Amino acid sequence: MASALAPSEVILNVQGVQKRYADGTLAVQEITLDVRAREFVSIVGPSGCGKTTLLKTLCALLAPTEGAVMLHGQRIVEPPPQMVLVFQDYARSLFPWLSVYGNVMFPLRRRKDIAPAEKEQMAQRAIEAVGLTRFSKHYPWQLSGGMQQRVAIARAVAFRPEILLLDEPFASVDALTRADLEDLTLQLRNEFGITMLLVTHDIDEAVYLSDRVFVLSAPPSTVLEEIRIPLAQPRDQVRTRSEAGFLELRNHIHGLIGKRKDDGMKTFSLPESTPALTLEGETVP
Amino acid sequence: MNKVFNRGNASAILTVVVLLVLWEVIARALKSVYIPPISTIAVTFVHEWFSPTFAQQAIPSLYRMVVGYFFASVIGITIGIIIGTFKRMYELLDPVLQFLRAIPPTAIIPVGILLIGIGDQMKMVVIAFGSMWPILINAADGARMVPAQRLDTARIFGLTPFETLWRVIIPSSTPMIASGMRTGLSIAFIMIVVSEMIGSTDGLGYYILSAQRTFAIPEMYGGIALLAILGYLLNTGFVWAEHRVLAWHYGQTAKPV
Repeated sequence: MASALAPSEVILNVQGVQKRYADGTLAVQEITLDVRAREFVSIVGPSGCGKTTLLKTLCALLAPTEGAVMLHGQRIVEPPPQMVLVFQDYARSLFPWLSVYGNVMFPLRRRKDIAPAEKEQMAQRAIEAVGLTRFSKHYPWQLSGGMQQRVAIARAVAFRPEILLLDEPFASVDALTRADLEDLTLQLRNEFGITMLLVTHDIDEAVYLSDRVFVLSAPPSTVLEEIRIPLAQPRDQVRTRSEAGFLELRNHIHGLIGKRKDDGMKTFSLPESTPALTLEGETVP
Repeated sequence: MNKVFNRGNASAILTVVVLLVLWEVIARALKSVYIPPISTIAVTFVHEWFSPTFAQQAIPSLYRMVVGYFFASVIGITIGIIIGTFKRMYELLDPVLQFLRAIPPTAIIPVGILLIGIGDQMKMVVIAFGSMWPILINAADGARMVPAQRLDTARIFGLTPFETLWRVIIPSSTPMIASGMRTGLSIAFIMIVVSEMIGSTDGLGYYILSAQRTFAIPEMYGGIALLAILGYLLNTGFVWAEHRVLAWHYGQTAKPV
């Protein structure tokens, strides 16, 4: 089974990124990975493995202590307009004094290169894509958590980034909303052709959404393994999650992270040579 | 309208009526010149304040207060936001600010008289000085406590430092600024009365003090009553405006997520 996506050019290249905090703590030891255009890539790791730090480093909110992040071959030092980060904590990243529409328009307003009418259209289209057209005059605090995260996603999408970085965006919502939001990101990837890079500690979520998964170790983090997810496209919450390959992959990752959930599910490890777990790019340490 | 005349308001009004009647009864029993019956005060109040006296005494007070308070707000917000935005500056200036704000505002009136004289300017300056501190300190705290993620969001979308200040830091600080301005307003009110009692030829502070000195006792109480009414109206008006301008803030805090 091959990935549904045709191979495309590498747009983001993370080369040996290390992040040490001012107090000397090593959060990220050495991360090397690449992301291709329109791909859905996840980074999974145990809780507290420096995932947020890594993501902030990838979009240049933090500077790496070693290594470099290359976007289209250019080293980035300031948050580039092609990348937008969606935070886990929507309540703090949305602006409570602006309506849903105002929030989505927020990053567009300063764009001198786009005509006002077109900006309006971009914002409305993004709001429509996340299914909040009826609520565009509401304020974020009048909406449920899941809806607020949709606003944050719409704001990011309206900006038309090439890459959307998602920092555990579904961690603070209930399970049903979570499934909705997962499918929303898949749909947005198709609709707007945005490349998605998700960090999460939820292995099932990573497997369900991704074309490729990078598994991180406990801190100081390194990439333990790069795993291709050759599950059928389009993904479906019920069908995909019950595929044999899905279980194999999630169990394999559980084994890697060395953390078994007490969910009564039988956990087994697969030999490294299992064909379903084709390793792509032997450069990964 | 239903809200205004509900049961709670009705009993509150009843309380006021009972207190006024009590005053009337006690004052008539005491027969003291210094505590006239409320009815006498009320008659004097209407006679004094529904006359040119209002323009002569109350308008100058309000004018000085508005000008002083306006400068306090502009200077307080500007300096506060700057100090709160730049961490280094905050660390440098915070001890000085804490010291300056600890001075009871009325204590600087003699300094004002010494440096500026006893005119309108002095009163405006001491009002501005006194009411500026809570505004400045609150604006600085507001700007300092903008959630880091809001600032990160601004950076992600490529906002310049000025745009971040204007579109993120200032709006984020408005609830704090408003509460500083509310405190500042009551200080401005105290400052106007005190400064007019010390060196003035008109204004409500002057009126009350000279009424007392000339044994115009009902007039003195009438002046105090007018201050109470003005103070109440100013504060109510401020809260009303604040709830409209900061509807988002009160909506958000009323319904925690």
